[in-house]
Amino acid sequence: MTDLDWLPRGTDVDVPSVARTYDYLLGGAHNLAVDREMGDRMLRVLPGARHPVRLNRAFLRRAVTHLVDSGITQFIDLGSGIPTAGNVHEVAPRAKVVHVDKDPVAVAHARLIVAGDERVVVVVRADLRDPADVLSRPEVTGLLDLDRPVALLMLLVLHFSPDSEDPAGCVARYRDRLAPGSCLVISHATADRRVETMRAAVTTVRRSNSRDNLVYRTRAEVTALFDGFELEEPGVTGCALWRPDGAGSVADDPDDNAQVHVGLGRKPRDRGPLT
Amino acid sequence: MTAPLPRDADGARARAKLAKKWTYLLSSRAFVPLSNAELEHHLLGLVERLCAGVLAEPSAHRVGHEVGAALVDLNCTAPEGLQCSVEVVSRGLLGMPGLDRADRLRDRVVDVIAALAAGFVERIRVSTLEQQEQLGRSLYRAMRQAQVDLEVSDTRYALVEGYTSTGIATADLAGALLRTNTALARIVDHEPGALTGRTLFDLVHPDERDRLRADFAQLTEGGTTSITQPHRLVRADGEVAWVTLTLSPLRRHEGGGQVVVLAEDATDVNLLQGQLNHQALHDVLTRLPNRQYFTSRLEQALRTADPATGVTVFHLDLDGFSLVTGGLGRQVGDRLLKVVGSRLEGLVADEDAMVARFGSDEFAILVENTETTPDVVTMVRRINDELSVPFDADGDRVACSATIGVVHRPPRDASPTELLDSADLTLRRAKGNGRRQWELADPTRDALDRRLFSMAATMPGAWRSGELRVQYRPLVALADRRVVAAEVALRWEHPKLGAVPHEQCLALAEDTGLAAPLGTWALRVACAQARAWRRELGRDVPVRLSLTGTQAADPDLVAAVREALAENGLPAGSLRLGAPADVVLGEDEPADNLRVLAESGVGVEVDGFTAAPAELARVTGSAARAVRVCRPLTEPPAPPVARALVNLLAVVREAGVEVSVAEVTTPEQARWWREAGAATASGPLFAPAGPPGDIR
Repeated sequence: MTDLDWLPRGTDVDVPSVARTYDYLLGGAHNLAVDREMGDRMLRVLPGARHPVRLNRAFLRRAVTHLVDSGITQFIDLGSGIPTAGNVHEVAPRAKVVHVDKDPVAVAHARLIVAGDERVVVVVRADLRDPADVLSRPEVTGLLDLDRPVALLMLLVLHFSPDSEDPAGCVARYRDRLAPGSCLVISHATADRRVETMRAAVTTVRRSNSRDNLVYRTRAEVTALFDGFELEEPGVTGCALWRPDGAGSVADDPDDNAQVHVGLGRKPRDRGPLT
Repeated sequence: MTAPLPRDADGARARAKLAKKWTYLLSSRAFVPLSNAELEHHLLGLVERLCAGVLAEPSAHRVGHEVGAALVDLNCTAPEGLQCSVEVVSRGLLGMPGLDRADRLRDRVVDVIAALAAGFVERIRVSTLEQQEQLGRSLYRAMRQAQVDLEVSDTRYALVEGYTSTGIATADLAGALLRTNTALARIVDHEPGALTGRTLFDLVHPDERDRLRADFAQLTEGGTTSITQPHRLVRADGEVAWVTLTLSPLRRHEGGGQVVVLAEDATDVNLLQGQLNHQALHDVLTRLPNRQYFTSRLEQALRTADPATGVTVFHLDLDGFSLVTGGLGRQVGDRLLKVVGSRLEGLVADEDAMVARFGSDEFAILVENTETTPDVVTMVRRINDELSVPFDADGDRVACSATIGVVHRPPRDASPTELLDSADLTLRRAKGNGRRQWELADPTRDALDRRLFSMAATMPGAWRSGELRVQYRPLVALADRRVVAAEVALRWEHPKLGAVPHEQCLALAEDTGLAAPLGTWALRVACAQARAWRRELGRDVPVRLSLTGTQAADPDLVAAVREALAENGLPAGSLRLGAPADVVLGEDEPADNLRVLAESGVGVEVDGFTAAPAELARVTGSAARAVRVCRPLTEPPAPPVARALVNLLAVVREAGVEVSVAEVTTPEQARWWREAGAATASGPLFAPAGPPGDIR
């Protein structure tokens, strides 16, 4: 086959990848020039862009720690990207973790990183928008016991899913399949503040030839994604305000702290018939 | 090894304070995957090592390096992380209690911090290279995986392309064929590979090129959905291949798009459709038109034929066809039908005519007559002449003849259905006359036959709904007119035609296969009536039934008779059964049936006795208790014959067989027969058939 002028989605080194740009903004070097270029553009539009990314990653640590403390031992990280510093299986080393991403480079990379840990960490290349597919993959069903509670992490991913793809319905299908006591963690970019700046950020992403475009959602819209889950305190809030535990949890600029909505909900256990 | 730190409370407090401040500044500038407390703990360790480094000059360089590397390992890779660390640590060390005893403190701190920066850079360079190398490997793996996937999918594609019967081509946006499979080449009758370089439009029928171009343009202008349309392709041999073409866009990142073309060969489907059409209108065996086709052609011919000459329909039935299939096998039968079909076609080849096969051994010919068409008699003769020429069927010489119903020059406004009915009825009448007969349609006869046939068809329903009844006609002793028995007569109260008499009921029952069950039914009804009379009249009135040949041959007859008698507690002598002379006096199964019954005491009688010598000879040794004379013999013959008849009857009587006469209408007849020796008689003279109450 000499006619290799096309590439499967995500292996084109001239197209920036969300996963690698995220890594760049987190200070990693698992990225290419195109990714750094997109990241730098973001930084020009939104000079504090590293803060929400950092705060989100810090939130992940707090949320996972909280889940482990509450007895969760199984995680599915949807849109895990490149699982570098502070990823789920680092924060919860004794838990079973499935990383799911559709980016083939991120997946190949993640496999390199978790090599040797396959008994507790697997990486699946799948599209999180197809819950039936994700939850029926042999790697997933082989590692996790879906009849027991699972924590589903959807961090900085649902804002790449426009309403036309029915992200709420997608979340609901995961919810219906998961055992009672399972948890959902969402972090989601918003334009509730810095409206103009965030609009410019969208334009930047679009112009960068990335395949993913940002869709901001309001606090109410993010709250609605938790339909069927009981939100734990403090509900849906700015990323930094979710159970902060020190300087690393927050930024100086209150707008940075609220740039990403987060929440953690738990699927109620069956209570039996109401009497 | 660093020197032990001074154990002063001030120093410890100051170091903790520095670690706290460092933690705060660092965590708000870089992502460190640790909680605040953990990070603070970690940084306190670094602060303590730095202090030790400042105090012990030889280790200063190494300690600075290690701390710089540790910062990178904590993910403090951003310039801001280094900058804030250098600032906060430098100031902190310079003002740290306990370090002021160091020589040239500032120089020492500068040394340590310089080493820290160097260590940071060294570590970040290594880390970055490692990560980039990892990323390179991941990219390579992803690409390799993609390529493997691609090769697998390409192999699969090639397999599909090579082995499917669907034509597959890839065309560029101008329609030029870039790649084609052998199936496509086969569909359009080209050598594989000969299609490359041509355009898809070259292959399509000229009439359809514009339509295809329009579809193509829709795809090349950004259409995303496939387009499926039937098309005709022009084969190399000039024939047309019917295909279903599906055009699908193939998008590519670079280079122009392409269009994938699927061509499903629909020629077979079209042929099959034609074949189905043909089958719907033709007989599969002889390939002649069938009745449907013939009917529509007839309808047309009736309208368009020259009124001066009109049309003629011949309806043929092969004589004894079942004997051919039964004797020589179905295959020979099929051969015969084919031969007949082709001979009939040959016969009318010069005429404007159609030969059709109607049923198993029925054919029809429609001739649109002209001035030169032979007349009906000639045609009929030619048909049978033609059919009588034997043909060879696996060594057997087979020929046949046909019986023919002919409808000649029907009126123009005749309906084809009526006309074919008429031909059919005519054929049935002709068959009644034997083999190789023919008859012309006769509208009056048709109406009569049609009525009879329709009656036969409705008889089973009529029986079920109670329109059929059993009636009784008294049989009287000619000597004193005393009722000696009651004859059973069937009567059908037809809602439209009125009462249908006994004989016609029996004939219809024979036609419809109802004879046996109807006979059994009449037998049971009559026996039940005999019992009723015994009770009501206080005497035995035997019932008499005339059986048809079929009824007499019914293997269940004996059992049915015994059952009917037993059910009603009747002696066998209370039942008399008449049957045609050839049955009673014959030697086969029906005769055996009747003999068995006669031996058990049932009165068996000969119906329609003619006193012919053969009958006479047999009647004397038979089981018959009586013979019955019917019309036309009821009317007394002329004197010389009458005398002979009287003598013959005397022979019968001497054999102990009673003579009875039916259908007596006049007192003269009654008197003559009494004198001729008849003991009993029935007929309108005494009483017509009526309800049971009429018998006294």
